[in-house]
Amino acid sequence: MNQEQTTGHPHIRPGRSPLVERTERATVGQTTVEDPRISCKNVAVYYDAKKAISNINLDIGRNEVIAMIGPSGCGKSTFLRCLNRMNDTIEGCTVSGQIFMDGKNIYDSDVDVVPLRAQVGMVFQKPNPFPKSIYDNIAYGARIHGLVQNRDETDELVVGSLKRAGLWGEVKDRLKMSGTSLSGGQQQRLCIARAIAVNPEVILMDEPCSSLDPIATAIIEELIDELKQDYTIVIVTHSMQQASRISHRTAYFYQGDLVEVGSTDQVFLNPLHQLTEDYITGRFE
Amino acid sequence: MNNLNKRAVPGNGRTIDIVKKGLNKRYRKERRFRVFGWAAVMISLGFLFLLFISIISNGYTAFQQTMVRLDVYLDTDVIDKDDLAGADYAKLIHEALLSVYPDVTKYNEKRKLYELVSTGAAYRLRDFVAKNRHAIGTTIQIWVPADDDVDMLIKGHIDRKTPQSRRRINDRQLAWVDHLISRGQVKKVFNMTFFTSGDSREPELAGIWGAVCGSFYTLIVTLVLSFPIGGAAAVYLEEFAPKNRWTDIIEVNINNLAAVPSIVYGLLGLAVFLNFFGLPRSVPLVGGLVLTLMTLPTIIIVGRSALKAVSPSIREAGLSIGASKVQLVAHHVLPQALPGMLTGTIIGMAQALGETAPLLMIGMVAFIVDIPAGFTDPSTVLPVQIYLWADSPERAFLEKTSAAIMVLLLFLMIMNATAVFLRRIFEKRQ
Amino acid sequence: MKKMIVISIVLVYLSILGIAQARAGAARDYISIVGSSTVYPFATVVAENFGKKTRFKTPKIESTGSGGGHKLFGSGIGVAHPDITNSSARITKSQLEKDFKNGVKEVVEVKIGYDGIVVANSRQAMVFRLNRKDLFLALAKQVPVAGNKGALQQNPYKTWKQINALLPDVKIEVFGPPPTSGTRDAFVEMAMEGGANTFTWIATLKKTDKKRYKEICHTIREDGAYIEAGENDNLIVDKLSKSPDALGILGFSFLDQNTDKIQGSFIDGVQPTFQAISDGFYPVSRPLFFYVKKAHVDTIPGMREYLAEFTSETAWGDDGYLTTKGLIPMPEKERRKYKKIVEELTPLTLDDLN
Repeated sequence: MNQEQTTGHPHIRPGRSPLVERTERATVGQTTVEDPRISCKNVAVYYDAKKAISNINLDIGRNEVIAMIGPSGCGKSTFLRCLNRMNDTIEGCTVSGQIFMDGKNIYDSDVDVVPLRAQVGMVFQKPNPFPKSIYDNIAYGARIHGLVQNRDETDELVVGSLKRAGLWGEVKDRLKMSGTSLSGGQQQRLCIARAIAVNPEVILMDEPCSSLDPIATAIIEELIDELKQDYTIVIVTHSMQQASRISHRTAYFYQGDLVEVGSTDQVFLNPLHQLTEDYITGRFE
Repeated sequence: MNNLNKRAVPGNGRTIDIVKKGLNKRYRKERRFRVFGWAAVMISLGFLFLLFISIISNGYTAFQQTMVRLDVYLDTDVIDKDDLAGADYAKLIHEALLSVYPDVTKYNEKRKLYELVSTGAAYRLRDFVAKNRHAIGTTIQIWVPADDDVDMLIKGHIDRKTPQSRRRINDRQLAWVDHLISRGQVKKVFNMTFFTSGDSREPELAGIWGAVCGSFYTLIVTLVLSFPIGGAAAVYLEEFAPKNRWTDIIEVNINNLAAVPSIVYGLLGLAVFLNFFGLPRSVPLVGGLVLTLMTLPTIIIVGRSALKAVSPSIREAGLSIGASKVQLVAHHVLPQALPGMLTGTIIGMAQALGETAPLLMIGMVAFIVDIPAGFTDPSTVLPVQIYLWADSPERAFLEKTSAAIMVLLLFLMIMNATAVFLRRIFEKRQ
Repeated sequence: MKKMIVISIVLVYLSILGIAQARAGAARDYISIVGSSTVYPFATVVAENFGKKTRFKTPKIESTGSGGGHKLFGSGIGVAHPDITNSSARITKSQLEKDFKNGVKEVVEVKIGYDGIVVANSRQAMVFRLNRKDLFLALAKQVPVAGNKGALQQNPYKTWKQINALLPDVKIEVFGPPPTSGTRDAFVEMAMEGGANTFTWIATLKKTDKKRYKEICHTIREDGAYIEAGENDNLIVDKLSKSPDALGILGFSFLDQNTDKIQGSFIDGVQPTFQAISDGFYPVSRPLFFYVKKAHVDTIPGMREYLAEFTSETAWGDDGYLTTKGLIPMPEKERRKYKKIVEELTPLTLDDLN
């Protein structure tokens, strides 16, 4: 019964152009935006000799939330980690191509990763607060970057960041307690608060809700919705519902290729690529 | 669709029946394994128990000491007030003994009588007189340590029933001792000497304080050198060193060094610290240096595995916030690895505390009476003291040996407990 | 954390300073003694008494063995080198020549008394009456074939009676020290060589083929009849009291301390007693020495006083405290001779060793 689908064009719907075939891997859709915050050109990542992603061209706009979706191992997380050069820490990992921020390629040899990462914050799949007090978790980044000069400024920053992350009400009486003593959802919000305490311009989120229950997920999603006013957010997610709820644009990765990019509505309602449609309709194998 | 109904397992019968049939065998296997494990633990515990029993039963008597009370007339003819040190205190002790038994006149008998109290009695008397000058010319009562043979007799290590020729105490002496006991001039007291004095060839005067001090100074040097150096080496190798052939060679060699017999470090210390640098023999400084060499591989290996065990998510968290490599290590990785590194260090220290072989080469296996007061005073260490006593012919050293082993074991236990305690504290802090 | 790092750095620094200081102020205010483990028990007693009687520090005594001690002693002049070495054998000509070459020009030899090596067994068994020939035949790896001059065979003897009809019919089982021990060296030299010399052809070998002679006399059987019991003579005492049929080789002082458990065998008709060893009747006994570096006598505080203490009658005399530790004193005439040498610090010459 699958015979028909792979050879013919069963999904030609009236009034629409035919879907791009599965064998075609060049990116379809709107990869460029006006005045991008980040602009990727021909990005490829190899783990030793094994290709992880290749030929990624993608612009990320200002104050937009862009979601990366795709099946496991498709390279979406790898791509995300290119944006703050976290891949540097992985042995045998090589990155080629260019990623421009403020007109500067972040992979140039003279680029220092420390200010880059102060500019591009990250939240991970598993909440990873430091084994320090809640207060120190938030204050740490600002302290090492010299963003705060004295105790009062630090207090202000901690309170502000926790409030923005929607955690203030829950932890205001126990700032001295260890960050690891919080619940999973609270920990993740603490990590978000920690990231925004440095006041970055871009926040990368690598499946931030995958280890949380639905209620905690909903709270985080609300938070992202608020944060998008001030930050550019790049989020990797397994949940298509989540992507459709929170993102402006969606990028679909498949086997190391960026298959399709477009506005979230367009990608989910009218995908241009056969592979995208397979995935969003659940026919993906 | 038919395929789905076909059994994946060959044979007939429901899975539950097959599982149930095999269950007994499975449990038997588990039981057998548990019995083996239990037996292994019991056997090792049994040996430990035997060790403790034998050491304690041999050594507990060493914590007591037999004292003899003498009424000594501080004869002004013997003690010159202006030259207290020059007086013949042994003569006063002897006269005190003779005053109890005036019938002893023959030379050999007198000697036997004098042998009832320790040769250290004269020095006790000297110290007493130095503190109580006003007592000169009067008769004083003083408790002095009994000779080790008398001590052994009182403690029951010498059998009164064996014929006189086979006893270190003859019948005459036995009678004297019994008489002294009946007059209340013999008592057993807590053996302070054992804990406050240095080595001696007279068992009743020998103590472990010198060796304890020596061990202390030696371990201080070892700790002060090996923890920072070992820690720094572990951090560098684990966190900063490039992974190439050179670091591989270094790693393999460190692992090899950990298995090198400890005497080799003694030879190295002899060649480098004594012969090349010209440091003095038999001092805790050199002992500490040698033991540092010996414990470094252990500390580095344990330190590296502690660093390796730090969760990568903490590293990612630190890096993602913009911490530099050094900041990451100093602020996040090291505090996490510290309990492990400290445990490694303390285990290394405990190992160093029990070591004699490397110290032989640098002259710390020596007879040293004076209590060392610093890093460059000649000294010995606890295990060496045990070894020296075990090798001494006097019977009374047997119990001292066991008692010293008890003290050493106590220190080892304290150190290991400290390791556990530190780990708890650090774990709680996180 | 920061504080800890700073503190440890400071400590490392301080200890390095300490090393530098130790090197700078290397003057030694205590006597350093090395050498024989046999002399060690006696020298330590003297040192302790010296330390208590005088205002000087108690000497430090290392038990390094005679050979090792002499190597350290003869390596040069100066505070880094020991002042005195104890020895259970007389210095050899080549050793003294080496000392001279290293700048140790004046070495004073002091004989302190005698040590006996005893063959003992448990009190529960009969006293053995051995002679040195019996010991040689019982313990050598290879023994002469009876009636065939010059031929050797693997030691076939299993019981004492096979060796000497007067001995009891018990299995040969001897506990003794390992080859690294000074006691073993002395036993081999005095008992085994003495026994082997009863075979005239072996005795002549000593002059003609010294290497072979030593091989015959010094090689102890390895088939289980001789059991190496470690350096610790206490262990041998312990083993003997548990196995009444066995014999053990140990220093006289250990017999002296354990007369309730073990008894010394007669050797060549003499039982090891104080008197017999002192008078030179007991065959397996050896003189003990110490050697003094004359150059150090006036630079190290207390040297003269220590020497005086050692050579005083209260120490090495017939009733001195060393005798209670098992040292067998020299005859009075010999004591006077060595006392004089110590007082005048007469150095040893190569001619003295002929």
